[in-house]
Amino acid sequence: MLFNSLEFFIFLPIVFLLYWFVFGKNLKLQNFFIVFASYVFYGWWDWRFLSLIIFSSVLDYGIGVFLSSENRPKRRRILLWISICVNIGFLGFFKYYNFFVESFIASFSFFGSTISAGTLNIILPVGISFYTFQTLSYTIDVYNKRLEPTRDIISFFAFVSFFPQLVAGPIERATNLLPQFYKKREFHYTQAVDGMRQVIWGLFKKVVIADNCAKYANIIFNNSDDYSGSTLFLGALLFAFQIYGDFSGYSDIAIGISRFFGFDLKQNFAFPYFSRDIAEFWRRWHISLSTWFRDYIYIPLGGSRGSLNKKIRNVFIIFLVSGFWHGANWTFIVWGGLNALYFLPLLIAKKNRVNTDVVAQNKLLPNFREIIQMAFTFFITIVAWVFFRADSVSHAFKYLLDMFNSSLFSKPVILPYTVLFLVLVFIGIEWLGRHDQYALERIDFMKKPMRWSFYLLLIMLMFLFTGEEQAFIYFQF
Amino acid sequence: MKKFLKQVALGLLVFISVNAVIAVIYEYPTYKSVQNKTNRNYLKWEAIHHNKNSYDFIIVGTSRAYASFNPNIIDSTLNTNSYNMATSAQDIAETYYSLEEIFEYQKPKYVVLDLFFDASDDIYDYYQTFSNSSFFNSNQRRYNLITKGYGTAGVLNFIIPVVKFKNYIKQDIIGLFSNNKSLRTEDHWIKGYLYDTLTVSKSQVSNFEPISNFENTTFNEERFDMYFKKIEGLVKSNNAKLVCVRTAYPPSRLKLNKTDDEGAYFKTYMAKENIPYFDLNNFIDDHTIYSDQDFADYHHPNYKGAQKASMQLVEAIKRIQEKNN
Repeated sequence: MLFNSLEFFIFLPIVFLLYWFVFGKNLKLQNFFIVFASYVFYGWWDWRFLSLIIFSSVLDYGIGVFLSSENRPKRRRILLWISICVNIGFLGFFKYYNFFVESFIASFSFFGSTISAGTLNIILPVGISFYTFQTLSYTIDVYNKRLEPTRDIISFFAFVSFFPQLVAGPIERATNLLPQFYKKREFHYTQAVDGMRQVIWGLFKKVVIADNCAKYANIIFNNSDDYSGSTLFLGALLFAFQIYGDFSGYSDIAIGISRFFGFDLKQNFAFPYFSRDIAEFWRRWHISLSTWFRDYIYIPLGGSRGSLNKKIRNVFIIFLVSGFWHGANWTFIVWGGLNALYFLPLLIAKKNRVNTDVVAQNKLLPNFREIIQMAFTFFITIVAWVFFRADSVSHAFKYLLDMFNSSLFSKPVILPYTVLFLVLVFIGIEWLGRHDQYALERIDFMKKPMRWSFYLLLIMLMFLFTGEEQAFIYFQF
Repeated sequence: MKKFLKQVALGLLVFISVNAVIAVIYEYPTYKSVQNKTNRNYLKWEAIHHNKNSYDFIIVGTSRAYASFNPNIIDSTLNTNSYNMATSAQDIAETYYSLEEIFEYQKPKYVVLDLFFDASDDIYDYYQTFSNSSFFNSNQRRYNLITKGYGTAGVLNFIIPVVKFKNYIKQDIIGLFSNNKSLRTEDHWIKGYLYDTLTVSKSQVSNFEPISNFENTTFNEERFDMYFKKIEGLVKSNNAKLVCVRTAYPPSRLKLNKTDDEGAYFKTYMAKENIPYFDLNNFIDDHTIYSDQDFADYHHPNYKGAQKASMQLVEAIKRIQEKNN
């Protein structure tokens, strides 16, 4: 069920009313209802996917219980590895099996020999990368004794399957979300209103910005041979806003909906396109995944401690793994590698934690230096996005070669004025709200009639500029 | 909670009110034109419903078809009584349900279907579709078109005016900031055919874009195949002959395409289905070679182009008749 579908607009109010008015008095029943609603939401795509999520939940719940009563380090390690191997095994099979087989065949044919190995017609279960990482974080935290294992199976199942963030994050940590299932939730007017505002903003990002940018980005990327450098640059630029609007829009909707139900999820995007260097960008982009890799891969590998070579190795590992997490294609791996290359100079110069505050803090406009820094960071991000969006690595290289020639300074063949105007307005609003969790968080400074007119305008724009309903990009990951 | 629900209800009320205003603004002209008996879709369906079993030659398709085929020219040569039932932005599903309605009142010997990638893509002009189907006598058929033809998106567009009229609202907003006034000259309707005297301007010709191909449209092959087979079955079960055509484009526009995906696709598909198919862009006849001046804009023929297209269609039908004899 997509957030931007009619089914969801019917589903959500029903779940909301039942949750507060029918099951509100009993915490266990309320949690059970969350599990039920989440399974309906998830099973709407394909009910067969449910077996995987149920299996994962049972496995990690069970391992958590065993870990609580097991003190022998070797046994504990075995239990942890069972969870890692099964969860990553599922992910690997459903997401990467064909990629490995095809790459294996390709590498043999490169050396002149041919082998025959069959690929499988596997359907990738929606959101498997997200909930796998979420359940893994629970087991790892329990293993490291950072978290008490739960004995409340319903709460655990609700934590794994919580529908607002089940299919595309934010990837919540058990330390933050699981305890919220133990406590009785109260309905708070301000929390719900804030949630509603964030949902509207998220939908605007998805329906108006991402889907309209997608229309032109798709045309340009699909026919890249036919277009001038300037048009190709425009295509990459529009894709940058498509993916940001799409993914951060989903996160905003997920966080907002969670607030209706009395839950607080972590911020997942913190205005990444206003970053002054690539390190800052990665502290602001897909925060829940970046911090997951930081805590469960980068730090266990030694993080930024040790020799320079070791640091460089660690940076490459997390960026390559991050790229690979996004999909079974070399384009994502190159994208990850390129970001690692961007990051290295900052790491070597020990400048990767320079820009930790908000750009132009407490000022209306940035200074010249900040503008240049932001423009440069945005530019190199766009170049990297070409790999993310292209069909293949060779397509990406060809796209970039065609982009960086003299025609880069010609008038683009495609110039969607309305979309560019909407993107500019969007950037303006995001800039004004960059100090907060999301752009409209402090809209209360407006008087009520103005505020309501603004909401109405956003909603009308959503209906007016709705393209054909498009699935969220990150579902495929 | 009460306060929150009240606010949500108030928000919904405001939204419904705005939609009601939009509905009045955009539906009222249609309502008035039906009252004045000037609405073209109303008049077309009136002709079908009130002249039972009169028409033996029916043309269906988009505005490209109603601007191309003049029933007077066709009837004078083929000795038929034809009617042009093509409507603006007619989608392939709409064609199917329109034909169902037509067959309830008419027994045509020939059904001519104009093929066009954009008529089978994933972008629909719901307003046009719902406006056309609002004149069906069968409520069940209208319901089927909305729900089976377009699914939940159809229902959503049917009930929310701001979505249904979004293209027109956007056009009107842009119109507020633009100086372009319509240059429409004298035109009138002849048995469902638009007699258009407008000629495309040089600046329009210089701004032509390539015709529909697999890259610049979202042509939905699966949907086309499904509805085409339904149409084929429907026409066959009513003992009529289905003839498919692809109406002409301005020559300057055709030259912009490296490959003719649309022409090649329909040619191959119709050959496979064994359906007579004529591409009027290259259906050679001495007096039907098109120039840009035969068009009113980037893809609608004017009265001169329509004369040629109608003659081509007559020739095509004659060839079918000869083959059958």
